[in-house]
Amino acid sequence: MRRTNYLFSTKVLLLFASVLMAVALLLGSIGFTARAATPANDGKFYSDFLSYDEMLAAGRDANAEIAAEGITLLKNRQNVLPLKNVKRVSVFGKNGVDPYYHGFGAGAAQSTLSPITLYDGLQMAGYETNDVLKAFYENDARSGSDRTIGELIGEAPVSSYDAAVKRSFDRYNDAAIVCISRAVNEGNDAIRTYAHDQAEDPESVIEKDRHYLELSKNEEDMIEYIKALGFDKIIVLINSANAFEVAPLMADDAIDGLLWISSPGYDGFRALGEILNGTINPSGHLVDTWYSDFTKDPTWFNFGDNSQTSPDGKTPNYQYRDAATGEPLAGVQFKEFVQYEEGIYVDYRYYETVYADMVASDGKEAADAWYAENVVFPFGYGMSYSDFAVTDVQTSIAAGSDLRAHKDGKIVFEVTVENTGSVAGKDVVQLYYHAPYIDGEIEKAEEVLGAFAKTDMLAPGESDTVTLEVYIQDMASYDFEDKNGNGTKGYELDPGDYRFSVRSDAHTAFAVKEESVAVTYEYTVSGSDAIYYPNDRITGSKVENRFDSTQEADGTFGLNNYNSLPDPVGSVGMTRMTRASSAHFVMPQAPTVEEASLEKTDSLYQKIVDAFYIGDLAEGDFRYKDKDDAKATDGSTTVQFTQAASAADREIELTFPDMIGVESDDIKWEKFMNQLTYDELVQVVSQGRKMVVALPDFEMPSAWLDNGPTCVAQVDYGSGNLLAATWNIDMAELMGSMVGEESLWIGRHGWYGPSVNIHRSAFGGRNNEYFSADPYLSGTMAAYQIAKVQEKGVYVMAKHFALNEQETARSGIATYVDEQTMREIYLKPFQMAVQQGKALGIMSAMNKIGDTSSYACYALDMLILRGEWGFNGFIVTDSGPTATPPTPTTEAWPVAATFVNIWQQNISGNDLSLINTSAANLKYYGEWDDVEQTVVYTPEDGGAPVETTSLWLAVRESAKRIIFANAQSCLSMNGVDTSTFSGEKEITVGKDVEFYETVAIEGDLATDDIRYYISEGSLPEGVTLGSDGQISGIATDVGRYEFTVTLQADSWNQASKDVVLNVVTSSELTGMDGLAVGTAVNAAVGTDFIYKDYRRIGPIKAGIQLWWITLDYSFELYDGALPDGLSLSSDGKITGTPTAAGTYEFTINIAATEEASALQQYNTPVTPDYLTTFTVTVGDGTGTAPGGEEGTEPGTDAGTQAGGAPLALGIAGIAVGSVGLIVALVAVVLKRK
Amino acid sequence: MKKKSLVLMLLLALVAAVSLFAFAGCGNGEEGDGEGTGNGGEGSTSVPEGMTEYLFEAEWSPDIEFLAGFDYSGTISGLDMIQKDYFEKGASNDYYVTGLYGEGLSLSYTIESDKAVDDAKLVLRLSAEYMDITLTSSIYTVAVNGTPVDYRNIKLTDVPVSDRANLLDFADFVLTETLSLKEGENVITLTTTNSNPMMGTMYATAPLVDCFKITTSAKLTWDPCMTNTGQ
Repeated sequence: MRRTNYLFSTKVLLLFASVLMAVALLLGSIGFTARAATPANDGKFYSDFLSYDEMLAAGRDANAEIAAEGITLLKNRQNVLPLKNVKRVSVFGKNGVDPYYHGFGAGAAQSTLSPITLYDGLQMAGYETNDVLKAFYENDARSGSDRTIGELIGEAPVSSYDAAVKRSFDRYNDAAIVCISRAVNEGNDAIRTYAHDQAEDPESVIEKDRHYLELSKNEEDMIEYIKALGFDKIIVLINSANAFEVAPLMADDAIDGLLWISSPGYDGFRALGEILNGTINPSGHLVDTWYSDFTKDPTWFNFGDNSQTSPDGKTPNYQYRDAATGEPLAGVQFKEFVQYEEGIYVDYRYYETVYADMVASDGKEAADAWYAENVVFPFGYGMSYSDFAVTDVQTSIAAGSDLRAHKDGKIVFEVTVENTGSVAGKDVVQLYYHAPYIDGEIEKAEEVLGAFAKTDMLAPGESDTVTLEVYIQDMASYDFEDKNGNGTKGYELDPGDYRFSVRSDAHTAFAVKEESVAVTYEYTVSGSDAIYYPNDRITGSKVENRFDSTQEADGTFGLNNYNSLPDPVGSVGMTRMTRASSAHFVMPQAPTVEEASLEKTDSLYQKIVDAFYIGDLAEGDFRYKDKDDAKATDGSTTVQFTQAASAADREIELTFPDMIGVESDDIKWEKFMNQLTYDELVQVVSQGRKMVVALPDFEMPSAWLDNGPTCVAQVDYGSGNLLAATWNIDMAELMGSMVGEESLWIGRHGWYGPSVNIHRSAFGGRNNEYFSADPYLSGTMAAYQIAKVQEKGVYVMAKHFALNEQETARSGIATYVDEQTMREIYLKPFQMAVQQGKALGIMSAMNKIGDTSSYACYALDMLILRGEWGFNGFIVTDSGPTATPPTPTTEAWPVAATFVNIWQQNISGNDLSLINTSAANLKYYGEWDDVEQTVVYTPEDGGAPVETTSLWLAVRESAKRIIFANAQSCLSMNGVDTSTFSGEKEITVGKDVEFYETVAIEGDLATDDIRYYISEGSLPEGVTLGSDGQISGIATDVGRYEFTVTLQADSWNQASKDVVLNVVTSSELTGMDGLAVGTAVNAAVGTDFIYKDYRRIGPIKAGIQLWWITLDYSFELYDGALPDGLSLSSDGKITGTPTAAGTYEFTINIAATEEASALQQYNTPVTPDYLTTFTVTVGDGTGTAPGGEEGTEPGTDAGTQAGGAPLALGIAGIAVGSVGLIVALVAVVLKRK
Repeated sequence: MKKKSLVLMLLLALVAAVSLFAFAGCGNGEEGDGEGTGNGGEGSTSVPEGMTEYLFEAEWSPDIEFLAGFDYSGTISGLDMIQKDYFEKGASNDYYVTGLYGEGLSLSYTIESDKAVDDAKLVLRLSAEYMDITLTSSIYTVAVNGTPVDYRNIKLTDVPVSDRANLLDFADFVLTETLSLKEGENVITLTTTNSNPMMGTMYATAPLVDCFKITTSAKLTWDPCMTNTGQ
């Protein structure tokens, strides 16, 4: 007998085939659905808008409004503007099809909105634009593509204009609009000479002596070409946030109009179109002096890497060098330096002062000639389509008065301005003051902007009176070196003649309607002694030199001393420009290599190398703290400082909500801080990369801080200087308010802005973010903007504090500037941001102040910012510093940019590390010793542990400042906790069955301003979501509906929940046909229709995961009544014998619970619970066949399937099943054989 | 009989082949071709029998301490390039490496193998921040013992904008399933080999790197710099 091979037996094959087919069926029925991705004061803040979209639209309108008032008309030859009888225009300039809407880096916009382009703006204003020319520019193959930010301009050469382009000018020749675009990226300054640049010389730049901020050869050729075509209206747009050399354009009579549009933002071109067509009367005024030749400005000789001053135009000339080798100091970080040798004579302070002195020495004619040669547009210049004139000036102090009698007060000018033109418009009124310069004494500029205001919109003939006020003390100069020899150093008003003048720009008196109206007012400070102001005007704190430490006898400068000037011994010399006749405005000289050479024994060399060392502070160090300092008192209560030994054992009495609105000097803060562990303090100060960590035990959520100064997230405002060019505090407030709004709506709590450094040089890489060359204009715009941002509960971090006027070597460059210049020019905007704007945050710069890192400059952060100005917020570092151990080596220098350490940083008052300090470096903060009640640091080299109360108290204070600022912010969420409204909710309802379900958040919220709305997806037909969170209705279509419900509390406090609404078919009765009296019934409520939703959570793994859910059902009669004689069991059986004929309607509730398989772990439980109504008819038993109402056909939906995997499974199933069938058939055939 | 058996064996083999296709095709469709969406979340590859999956945390490279990297606005250097996964984006060990946005920035890992193999699977776990990027094997070079791995493009898309996290969930990307390791020391390097700027001061295109995984029959060991994360 033949033995049967069991393996190949037919039965086995058939069984195998059956299994395969069963597997196929199962695979085919499995569906996958990827889980949808989820993601001040009284502490209450509110939005003015009901929806995010409404807010965005308002923000865009704000940008357009700011652009309308900031775009500056510079030339309007023969009143060519506004354009008349112009319909078809040709827009020249390849950059016109891709202009610079904003800056880059932090000044960029990550917006997903679409900008209004230059072409859009012109078309919206009614112009037809030359699309042939546009298409040419858009095609890089035709017009070139070599533009790079900050480097190559990329203008198409005239030779590339083809025949089609040339023909187009025959039609589009009503006007030529020429777009000249420039932008610089963060981290870089504008190129001063292309001889320095390493890039190949592009076709658009030929002469190596050009710089980035002047016309390129291709642009010049383009303009000549346009002129040759015979366009009789040529308008040039300067699309550059940096000032631009426009002297050739001004001198060219063929150029009719010139407008500075800066980087106008995504909606700025809306305004431009309307300015060109006259709908809007331009009212912008320049924020810098536009001088003729940027290479002749005093800052040209000390800027960037100074390569522009090298003989070859390439070699950097800004590094300390080893005297022995002549090479830059090897292995040493941060050996670069820059000297602000021009001192206070920045921008108009230089040009107006030189002019004034030249008038005095050489006569007005010579001075005018010099000025015309050197200045194209003075600071504050701007034209209008109308004319304005002063008709009246009233002063609070009579002209000729002695200001000494008013030294602690202010002077107020009420200036009435009339629109004497024929077009409605606004104008800017500028008030400058003049303080007497005494030869050889305190440096002073001839004129200084003291106040400004913008009129209302004035119809022709209409007037407005603006108020301009100047505090007398604010006119004082900072005599840091006792130049007037009166024995005092500080703010002083010298005796002599003072003058106030109402001007339309720094150089020009405001026009008057009548000769009798005076716009210049003379005053005096009598006597021979200067008026000394020892205290800050607002805080009353003592003001004294912080940066003039001198070298010790042993050649060192010590850690307590700060010097913002170069060390006098063994360092590069610094010759400050002076107005003194002995060296009257001698132009600064670039440092020579020899001057920058250091011997290794030089104290400065040692200072550079040792800059990162700090051990524990010595007792003589004025920053030193011991346990006696570890307490605070408010007079009645003394709180001894401590920290909780552990989070597990402590009792929390005060939470973050309890601290909302509590003043910073309230001793309650110390009680709060005592509850934190030292580890928590360290976490708060060390993890600041766009965040402040949460303190869950204290109910403090994590805060979100982020860029940028000209775009929060979506609305692109262009540049900070466009805002400043409005000279309108209403615009500053408008933008501030919208910055706050947008931050609220996206859940952001802190804003890395505004940027308030100074336009020291036109080449500054972040000039697009910064407001102006003038500190008062900058500080005023910043202060009003800040106040509005913070009104919305969003705290600012004004930046970069301080002296970040160039991008080159910004990380660590030693910035040398005298203290007078620091205070009067570069710190002034920050002072105003803090004292007028009440800024709650400041961001450090990355450079050094003198030779001390900005991150660790106690003099700047503690003595000036806090001590003098009264700042009570926190300072965040900028990107870059890395925590280093307290005792670094000076030997093998690490590559990493480590130029500050934790101890220096926090002890110096710099609170929050923007770079999250790595876990490995947190040990350098030391640990809390509960026995010693202080912090102990154990050195890595095995040295003895060091107790450091100085570090402990510094870290504690930093953490307190950070938490305080957040307690003044929208981090409070208005006390409304919506965080539990999250995740997913699944509802299953029956088709055609009315239902009521709620998705509302559980519990009461601390506000009545609540609504719910569908933010994504949609509801099925027949179903609605009420504003109270109830979903109800009758769904008529079976299906699975996914949508997101957003809870909106106080309009901006939003949270979302994903909701799945399953609409399933009604149940089906089986065995309920032909009911008749007397005929037994054995029926059942069907559950086959129940929607199966087998969902997998997490990524698909290779291989199939099989799982299933077994649903147990329970049935109950919900409403109505079964036919008499029948009953419903809990397991869904209907049994009995009808006893009465009739039509019966009843509703059955089916509740289901799941019993899952062992592999259920990846599944979400499905618990449908729904009602179905049935209507059945019972016949009388005489043969009438009653009809039975059945539910609808069972659904066949086997669940949604996402991606390719489930489809693959289905196909696999079919394939497997088919093969199984084939095997079975073959087995049968073989058997028969 | 023999003929019958042969036919039946062929049929069974066909069934097996089809089944294998069905099973294999039910994995992450993105793994097989190197295309990723960046939204994979927690993931791990399948581990065939006889093989072991080894995970190597990116943050434990000995090089990080000496790197000078770049951030959106400024620089980020040394161990601070190791970021804690505050926003729960699925970084294993709760840390990942950022700041690799400069040409030449490189992470290396020295791994010992007890034998030579040529069928190891290499998976990189990546994310992206600030903007969508596409990695190619030429702009982000993954090399093993000096030999670059040629992998299909990795697309990291839908990076959330206007979101505080501003980065994608970490996801696994299979680079190769025929990785050669030699017996003894192997060096794997991940290097930014481009100067294609992203945004701000990010001067090159690079991902966020969480870890990489090698699935192999060899026994692998290494000496991770766990002190980089204070562990």
